[in-house]
Amino acid sequence: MHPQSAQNDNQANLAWPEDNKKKAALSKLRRVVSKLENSETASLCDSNAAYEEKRAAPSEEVARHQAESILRRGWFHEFWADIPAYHTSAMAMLLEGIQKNGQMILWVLTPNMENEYGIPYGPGLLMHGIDPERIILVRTASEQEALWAMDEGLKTSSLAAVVGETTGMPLSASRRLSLTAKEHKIRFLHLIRISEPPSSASFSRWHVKPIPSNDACNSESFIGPTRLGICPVKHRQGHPPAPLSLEWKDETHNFGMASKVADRPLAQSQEPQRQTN
Amino acid sequence: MPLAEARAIAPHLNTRLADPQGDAAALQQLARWFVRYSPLVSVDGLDGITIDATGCAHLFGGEEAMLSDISMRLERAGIYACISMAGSIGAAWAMAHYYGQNTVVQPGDDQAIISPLPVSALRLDKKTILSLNRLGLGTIGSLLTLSRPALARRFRGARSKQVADLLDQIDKVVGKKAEPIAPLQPLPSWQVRQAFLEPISTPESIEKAVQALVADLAIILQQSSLGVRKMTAVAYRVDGTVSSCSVGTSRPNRDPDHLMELISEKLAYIDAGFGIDLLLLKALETEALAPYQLGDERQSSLKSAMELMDRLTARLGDRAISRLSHHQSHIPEQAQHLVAATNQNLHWKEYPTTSLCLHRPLRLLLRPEIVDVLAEVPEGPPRRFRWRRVLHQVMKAEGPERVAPEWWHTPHGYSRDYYRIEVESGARFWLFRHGLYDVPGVRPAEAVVPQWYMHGLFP
Amino acid sequence: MSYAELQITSNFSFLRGSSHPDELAITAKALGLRSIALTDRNTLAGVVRAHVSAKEHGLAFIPACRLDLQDGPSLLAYPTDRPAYAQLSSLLTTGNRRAPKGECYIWRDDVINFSKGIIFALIPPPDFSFGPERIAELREQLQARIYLAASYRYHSQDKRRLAKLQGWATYAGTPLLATNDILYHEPDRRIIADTMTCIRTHSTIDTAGYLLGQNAERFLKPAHEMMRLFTDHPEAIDATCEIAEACSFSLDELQYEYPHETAPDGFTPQKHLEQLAVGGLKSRFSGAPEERFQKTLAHELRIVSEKNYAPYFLTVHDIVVYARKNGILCQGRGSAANSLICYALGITEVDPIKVDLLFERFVSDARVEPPDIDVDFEHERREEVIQYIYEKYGRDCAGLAATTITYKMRSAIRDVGKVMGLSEDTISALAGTVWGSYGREIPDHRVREAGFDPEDKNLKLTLQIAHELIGFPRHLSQHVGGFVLTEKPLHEIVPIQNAAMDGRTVIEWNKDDLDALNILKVDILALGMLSCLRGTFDLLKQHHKRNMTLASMPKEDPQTYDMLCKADSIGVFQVESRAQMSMLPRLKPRKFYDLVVQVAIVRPGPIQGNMVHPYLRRRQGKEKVDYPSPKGGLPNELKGVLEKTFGVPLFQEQAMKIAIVAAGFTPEDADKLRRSMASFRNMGTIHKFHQQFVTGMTCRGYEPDFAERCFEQIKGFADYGFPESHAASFALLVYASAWVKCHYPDVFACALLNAQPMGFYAPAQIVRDATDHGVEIREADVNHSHWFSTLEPAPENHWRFAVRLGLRQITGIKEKTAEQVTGNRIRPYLDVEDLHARCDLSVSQIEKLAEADAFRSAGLNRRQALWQVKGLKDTPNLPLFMHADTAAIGKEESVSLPDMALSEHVVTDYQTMRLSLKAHPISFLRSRYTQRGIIRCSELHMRQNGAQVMVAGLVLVRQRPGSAKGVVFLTIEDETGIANIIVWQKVFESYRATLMGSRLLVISGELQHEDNVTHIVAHSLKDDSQALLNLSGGTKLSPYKQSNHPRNIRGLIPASRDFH
Repeated sequence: MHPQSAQNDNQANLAWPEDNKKKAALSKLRRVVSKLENSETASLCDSNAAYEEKRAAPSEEVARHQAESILRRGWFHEFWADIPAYHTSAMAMLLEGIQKNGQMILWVLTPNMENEYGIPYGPGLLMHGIDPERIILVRTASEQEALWAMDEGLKTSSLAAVVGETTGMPLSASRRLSLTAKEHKIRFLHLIRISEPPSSASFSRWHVKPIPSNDACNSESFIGPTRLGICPVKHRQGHPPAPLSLEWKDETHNFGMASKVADRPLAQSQEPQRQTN
Repeated sequence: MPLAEARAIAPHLNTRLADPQGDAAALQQLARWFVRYSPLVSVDGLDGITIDATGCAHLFGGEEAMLSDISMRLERAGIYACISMAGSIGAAWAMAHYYGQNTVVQPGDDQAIISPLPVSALRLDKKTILSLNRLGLGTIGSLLTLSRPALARRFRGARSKQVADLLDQIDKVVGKKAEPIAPLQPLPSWQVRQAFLEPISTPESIEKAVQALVADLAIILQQSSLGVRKMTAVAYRVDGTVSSCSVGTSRPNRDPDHLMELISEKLAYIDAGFGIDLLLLKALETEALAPYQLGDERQSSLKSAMELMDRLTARLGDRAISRLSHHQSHIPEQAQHLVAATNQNLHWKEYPTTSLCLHRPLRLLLRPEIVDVLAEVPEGPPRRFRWRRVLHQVMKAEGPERVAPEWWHTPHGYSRDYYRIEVESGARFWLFRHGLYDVPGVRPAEAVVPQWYMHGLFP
Repeated sequence: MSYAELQITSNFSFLRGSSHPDELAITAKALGLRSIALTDRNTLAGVVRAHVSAKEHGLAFIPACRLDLQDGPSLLAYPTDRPAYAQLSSLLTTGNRRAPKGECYIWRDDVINFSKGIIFALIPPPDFSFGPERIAELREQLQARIYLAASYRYHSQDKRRLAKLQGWATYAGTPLLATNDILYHEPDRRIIADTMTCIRTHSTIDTAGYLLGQNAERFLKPAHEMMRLFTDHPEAIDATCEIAEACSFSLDELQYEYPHETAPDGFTPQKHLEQLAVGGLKSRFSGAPEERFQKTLAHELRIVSEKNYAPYFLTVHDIVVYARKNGILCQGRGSAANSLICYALGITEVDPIKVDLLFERFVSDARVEPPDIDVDFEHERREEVIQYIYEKYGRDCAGLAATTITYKMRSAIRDVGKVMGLSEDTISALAGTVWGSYGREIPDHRVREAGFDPEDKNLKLTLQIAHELIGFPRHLSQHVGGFVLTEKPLHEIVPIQNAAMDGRTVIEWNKDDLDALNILKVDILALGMLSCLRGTFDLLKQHHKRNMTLASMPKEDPQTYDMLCKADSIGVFQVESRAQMSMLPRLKPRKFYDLVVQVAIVRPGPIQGNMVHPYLRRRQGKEKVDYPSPKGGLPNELKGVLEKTFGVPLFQEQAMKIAIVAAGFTPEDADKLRRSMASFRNMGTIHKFHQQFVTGMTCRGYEPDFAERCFEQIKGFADYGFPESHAASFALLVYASAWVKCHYPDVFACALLNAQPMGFYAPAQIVRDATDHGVEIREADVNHSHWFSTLEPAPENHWRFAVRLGLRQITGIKEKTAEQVTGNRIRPYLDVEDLHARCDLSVSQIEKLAEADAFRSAGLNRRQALWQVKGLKDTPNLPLFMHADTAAIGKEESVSLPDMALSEHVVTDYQTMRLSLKAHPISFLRSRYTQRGIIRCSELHMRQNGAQVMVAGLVLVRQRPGSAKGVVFLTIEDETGIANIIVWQKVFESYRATLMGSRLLVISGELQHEDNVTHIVAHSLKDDSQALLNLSGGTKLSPYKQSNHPRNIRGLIPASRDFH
């Protein structure tokens, strides 16, 4: 798809009429799967089955519907990285949902996570559309303190979200946080780094992993835009949506569907072609 | 005298920056202390205090006694002072500044005592003093003998705004013209108290009493459009000892619920002992806080986030709660600092949005970790590397981005060559080589064996 | 494999580039680069230096420029040929002329207008805002070759950026051009570059943040490295060679065309010059000159003809004729005095044959530089001459040369200190330690003395950077008077900018640049002494009926020399400084050439070379005159060189000759050596010659000691060169001013007062000196004085005239006031009211007159006058009003004011006029001083050598010359005269506060007489300024503020003049 037409569709998307079936289907495709809140702008261009799973994928439309509704409805979502090197990918996915809301974010780190992955880095956050000034960082001395801080944060109505990074939490704690989140209508986003996460009271749980990037700028050595694969491993309602493969879009500053069309080399896609004399 | 000149004279001169504000504040404070002698006290210029002692002297055993009492107390406080008492402010001022010892001028003696003093004792500007001196009119006495119209014609106040009205000043000295005193305003004090006939000692009763005090304090603060930044509760115990606890807020606040929530965390530090007979709640530091407007969502969200920070700080301690602050530096770990939650100015607006901001990781490790790397010398990107015991095969690499050490901090430090790496799995890392290899004809080596480090993680 | 570096910012992009052009050229040559282009920002100020250095090292050089536009991305501009260069220079001139000084406003349309023949390279803005379509558009507009500049900067996305630019280049048809955007010649200079950035942006190193360089990669890199960085874009490397190939223009092509206006029809300039010179010589000798003169003149004219310098001589002649016609006194100085032509044309007054000067020093076949004629004019009227030149040649063809203001130790410390975040205090204290040192470096002990730890890391770094910054150009300023004149428009040769002064324009090159390109210039300089002599001649004509000119002055007058031998030289040109005055009685000048020596000997050159004492001893016959000779060589080979100065080299020319005769230098080498003394950056270059010089001499058998001393002296000339011809020109003015002082001290004092401010001494000392010579000085008075000081008949006086002080001596009086007062003085003013009624003056001006006691002739003393003034009112100048006002106020009763004591009068005189004719302040303290055993300065010569004495006086001058290590020279004055004090370092350190802070000093010490020079070596000093305060009577300080030191009476007695 040509970038120009994608933009037009984005605009059309702003006034999305419920009854216009054809348009609705197209627009729904463009809703960001990862939009966790009621954001108006969509950025997905196309779907792709690059993220391969053994189980058979349902139709595209159904998958999108499901993913969207799941992320919209619940107050407690989990992003899971099973391998240490994937942790940052899960974090990038998580950020996508709180990008547009300008309110403060309470970011709670357990001591383990801080030691292993450091802390969120402002310049990188800016790249992902998050103003670092929004972040209130809580570095705790124990899991216990971390859980208390998350719970306390969830009682504060004005936050955009509470983010907790753990290596998994007990079911009881997750139940309590889930309730607090629901009661105060604050989104609780849980970043888990563990190979086998325990069960929890979350509304949904997504497995995130990086995917090798496409070639860019006509050169194999350049690293292309960030690509992630996400797969819903748990959900509360309906059928789980199909796994998706997403790609970072520099122009819109968020993730969209990784597409074959988008695999064109960057230099050629960005510059108009003209033969010179 | 310019400092450079002073230094030429005395090279080892110890210098401090002048602190006129501090001086003025100290003088003001001293003036307040004088309220013990008279309610009418004012600050005079940069270095004087004026007291209206009318009807006060007998309280201290007469005028002389009052003067010596003041003098004795000031001396004890290490303050050198010249003190005079006279029928007019002008006369007292002249005596204090030009007589050289503490005196009381009795009514009627004014003119005789003041006459020999120089004209500068009239509180005149320099220009007038100079022209009076040029005319040979050096003393107040010589002025008093001249005809008033002749003087008036030559020293009209209207001639220039700077030139003081000479005659007016003369009249003030000899007491012909009244000079009012502009007394100091009393200091406001933001504190509330509760005395108990029956001493209290249980935590519940203390908490209940404090809650009432917090509510009271919130009301008086509301009336003055102020908010608390620091607050302390002081408990006076029946045995005569005092116990207290303090809390701070990240922004001025006067919400009684919030303040109560903060201080209740700390009330455990108050030891009631045999009972408390007086509780005091003081707002130690206050700041202007506009009346809260309903419907201002931004403000309300900010407010509650700040309250959350206060609660977290009260429980987890200052160190645990921080914000990310930006510092302009090319060194990646210097570019972000963790600062106290109360910090409002985080400087991220200064972060450049072109060229530089690209390709910075989402996570920066607490400290760079040594990695084993196979790479081409001198500037080739890594081919393979082992990090945390996992071997990664590099598929793509971009770099080097070279960051030189900050020479004013580390004059002999090594440069870093940063590479963005994508490995087989698609995971992306930020590695750097510490120290440059020798490049023939371009530069010598910085380090014998440069070391590789993992510094950050990309999504 | 070859590469040309075509984007280089040198330190002539002020506060940006961090290497000197010559450093860049030398490094580029060493790296084997094909060629380089200097691309400073909107300026060509540095190209000549780079050109000279590149030429010397055999490197191809392209004079170029970076154009920073007001409305678009920057462009690099490389002129391919002479016309293209003219375009570029004109473009910059256009931009300069419409901008304030130091700025240059150029728009894209300007570039398009001036683009013919220039190759451009566009620097893509970092935010990629100027896209390929717009580049293509620009390319079409320019109709010139344009490239797209690209650099590999080791930033995060170099390769991506290059790939993107490659795309743009292909799209827009602008080939990629590889550059390394050079900011310094070697990576270590990154420190300087960052410091420069901070200075430029007024930030400190801690706050500058992203303004600083991320790394040190902007240095010159060899071709193979550039090829490696541009592996993916080899054509970008080839493009550099393409451009280098196309740009064949060299600055040597700037064929300089001198304006050929001055010759009348039918004459070649040379013919005209010959005619003028022969005629001039005849009138000089009133008849046919001797044969040797004619021979010399013919010789000179031949060389001038060969070099085609005739128009240049004619120009200077024309200017001098103009000045003469308008009664402006002028005289040539410097090397021009070597020329008989200049003497014949009346440009110089020194007869070069008589003083035996060398024409070859001025112009010769060996000299590659153009001749340099410097002419001094009266300082008050020089502007007229300058305007005449502008008018005659047009602003297009006449411009002032620039002076490159460079960093000195003091300024470097100030700027670097701020950058390093030192406090204002610390910076001042550090900069203060430069006091008395030659200012090249600050030794540790001085740092410690200033109260700092020299081992402190930050401080050390600051000093280190400051040291490296010395010699860096900071900005361009206008040369004092160096004019460049051309036939074609000047702006086609060099860009012209606005000067700080209105109506002045300056070219971007300085004197050395012009010399290097063989461009002639005329120095139009200002000299206060000429104004003084002009006044002298006028007064002599008016009152003494003597028509005098510099040329007609009686020669070799013994009385004048007698006076100089006594060091009676206050006010005399050049020889009035303390060092000169102490030399006079030792040197005992008896003839003109002695004055030439006198002027040249008290200079750092001879002093550093330890030449002064040998010369004096030989002159006094205490030492045998011999000529150093090589062992086994010609015994007297240096006799010809050194005979005039008793075998001791004193002049620059002699040092050169020694280099040639004794050290075996070729004339070219000697000339190079001379130029290296005063050239672009004298540090470094001169040491190259040290080896050659000393080994040259010792190999030929000279004593190594003598060789070293000769070289030391040459080094001394590096900072303060004084050639013999220049000394001769100055000596003439010494003689002239001394002659007038000797025979007409009244006239001299009067003219000297009117030429103030100038020289070493203040009006008080001039007046005092005149009084000592029996001249009557009269007070400034409303009924007698004019603006300037004047002479009044005084029949009973020995000199028959008295000096009436002018109203200009009164502080704060305006010239207009004086005009009013003299213009309305049809009959004497009766009182203050009368003056107020008749003159349109503000009350404050009248008050100043009264305060200066200028109403005595109206029968009013200071106080009475002041009392009357106080009653005045500023009124509109309408007769009706004045009458109305007077009537309304009416006559008032008289008031008797206390009398003013004499001492108070004196102090007030000092306050209002900085001098008093009534008495000397010290005279009031004398009785007290006599009791304390303090003697008068006049008694000093009666005491024996070695006697312990005490004197007291006002401090006139404090001096701490760099050449005398830590010694302070003081001059004090009491009512009888002055005394010279020497304070050795040790005494200085313990009395530092007293010495630096007092106005009135009591000094005890040991008296020393030597060669008729008397001074006191101080043992102890005492501050007695309080006594001065008591004199003034009125001002009493509050006892409560007694901490006030009497030095606060600043206004009471004029401050001393301190020289470092």
